[in-house]
Amino acid sequence: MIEKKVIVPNTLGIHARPATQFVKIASKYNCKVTVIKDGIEADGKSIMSLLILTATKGSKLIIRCEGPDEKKAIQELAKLVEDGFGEE
Amino acid sequence: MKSKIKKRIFQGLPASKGVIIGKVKKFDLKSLRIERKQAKSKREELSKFDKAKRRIIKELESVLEHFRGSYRKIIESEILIINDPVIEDEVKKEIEKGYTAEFAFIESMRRFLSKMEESESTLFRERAREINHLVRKVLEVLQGKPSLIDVGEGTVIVSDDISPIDVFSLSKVNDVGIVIEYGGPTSHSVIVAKSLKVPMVCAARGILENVKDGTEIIIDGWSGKIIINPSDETKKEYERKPILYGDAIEKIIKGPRRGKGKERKRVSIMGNAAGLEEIEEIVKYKGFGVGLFRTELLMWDPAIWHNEDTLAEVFEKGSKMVFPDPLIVRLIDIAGEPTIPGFEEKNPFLGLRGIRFLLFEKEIMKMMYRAILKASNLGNIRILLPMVTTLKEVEEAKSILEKAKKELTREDVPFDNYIPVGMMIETPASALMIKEFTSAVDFFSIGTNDLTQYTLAVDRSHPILAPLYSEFHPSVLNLIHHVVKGAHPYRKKVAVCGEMASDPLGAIILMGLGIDELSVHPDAIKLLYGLFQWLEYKKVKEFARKTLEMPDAKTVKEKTIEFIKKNIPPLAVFYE
Repeated sequence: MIEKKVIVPNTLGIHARPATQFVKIASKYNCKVTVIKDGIEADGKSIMSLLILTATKGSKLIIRCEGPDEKKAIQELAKLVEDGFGEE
Repeated sequence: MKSKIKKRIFQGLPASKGVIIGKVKKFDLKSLRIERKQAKSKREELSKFDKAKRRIIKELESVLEHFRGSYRKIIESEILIINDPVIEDEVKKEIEKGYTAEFAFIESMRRFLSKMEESESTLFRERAREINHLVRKVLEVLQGKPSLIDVGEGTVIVSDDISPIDVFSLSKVNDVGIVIEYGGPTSHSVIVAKSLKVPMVCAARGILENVKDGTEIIIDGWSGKIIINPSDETKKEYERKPILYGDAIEKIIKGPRRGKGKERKRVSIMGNAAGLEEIEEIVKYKGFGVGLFRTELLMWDPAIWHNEDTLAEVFEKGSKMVFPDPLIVRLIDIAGEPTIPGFEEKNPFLGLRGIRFLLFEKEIMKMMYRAILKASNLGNIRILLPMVTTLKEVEEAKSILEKAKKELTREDVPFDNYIPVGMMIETPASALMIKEFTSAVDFFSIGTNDLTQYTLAVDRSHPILAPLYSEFHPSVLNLIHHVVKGAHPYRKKVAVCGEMASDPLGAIILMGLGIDELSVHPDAIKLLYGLFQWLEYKKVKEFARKTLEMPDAKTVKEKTIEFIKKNIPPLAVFYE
């Protein structure tokens, strides 16, 4: 299991479009993906779970991956968040 | 005691142009009653859910190929929601408890949606609303309800809300229109309705409880007006609208070029716009720039509204598109419209609206100024102040503009230092005091809709009083004439940007009263160009002066129709 802390940098936070991108990437991997905000855990392959985190700009998140391809998965997912999902 | 009087006229926000005269078909999420019921067979419910899911995904995927860009991403996210593994687990758990698939699904979704609805961020609350479309769609399929595709021609869908995919299905039927109680003109359903040319009006609060299936209804996607149980006369009036604003009008109305030389009064025909799409149309129809760029609708898109630079980008693009013609940007006018969540007044039209709101929320005003200034380097942008009643308001508004300019100078950002500032004349107070304002502003723009409502003291959607509302009332015409007389000696131009200018009758009177610029919705531009080819200024002026002395709106309209029949033969047929 590995974890990585990230901060949501884009103005609008993890709304539908960013969540879609996140789920699409997470679903490519076999490992279990969890996103944690303020102690609340969300399944990283479930768009509704991600949306109800209501992660806005500046939210501190922990991404946790567990499984054979966890290293690759966490790398790609953390980069997606850190780059602000390609938004401002 | 009289029976309950139903509201017959609604004013929504125009979302997608066109007129539909048809019969109501209600689609109401609240009407979907899902009972907490035990299912007969767990296996059957599971397979029902699975089938519904697959059917909707198939439908979404078939729509997907028709769209690009951000809308495509929305559909992708909808597919992910339908396919969400966590939701699926929840649904299965509920079905295992013995409930029906419908109940299991709505229970599972509710848990998630209620959390989003509680969010402090508007964006998440909006999203929850849009996901509700999808919930409805799933429930409809689960209940085997007839889908929207099954409606016939001449139907107007009246709903609390509608999903983009439903709009897409509807577009396959001829002559259908859509009215929704919620939604903004930039919501995804509207974008689809526009691109597929389905007339639509949104934000028509309270309409659902005032109509039944089969009620006769008119919706006007140009003005946002909705009329329930219209009279034959009203129907006739709306039947001609699509012709007057259609592409064929150019041929119908083609006439001799009259009024050359001295007698000719140059009236500039400009366009009203709420976004870049409309500006594109104004350019296409060769309008003289944008006479009124409404900024209210930009607020619906939080991505634009919360970011000064994104807002500036919109203005800059618009300015480039119409260059060298002007782009007149009106600062936001909040008038009891559902534009700001959580903001409600008892009597909004007499409340904190127009420039009053901006002087109260000075930061919003300054932010808008900054965005406009940043975009002003081509020199063709002008600022328009909404609903002014006193000179002091103009002075305060201008001092905030100076502050914004100073800030930008300090930040080394270039802008047009001589950017013209004009004001809206929407109240009898500002119309009567016109001379006071001539030294304070560079131009005037009359908003006839509000001027009429404030002069006649009539709410135009009032169930009993609506017939009293008419821009053709001589009191309104006299105020307009007073404004022109007051402004012209100081070389200040007067424009009209209300609905009146888009109507042949109104345009003729306004031209005759000496208005310099008419700003109309893009589709009316070609109509006005055609119309003016037939008119000799001297004659129109003489006629317009006479309207000032007429006793009531009815006489003014009748006499103007006579004038049209005599002077513009191709239009006569519309007024038989």
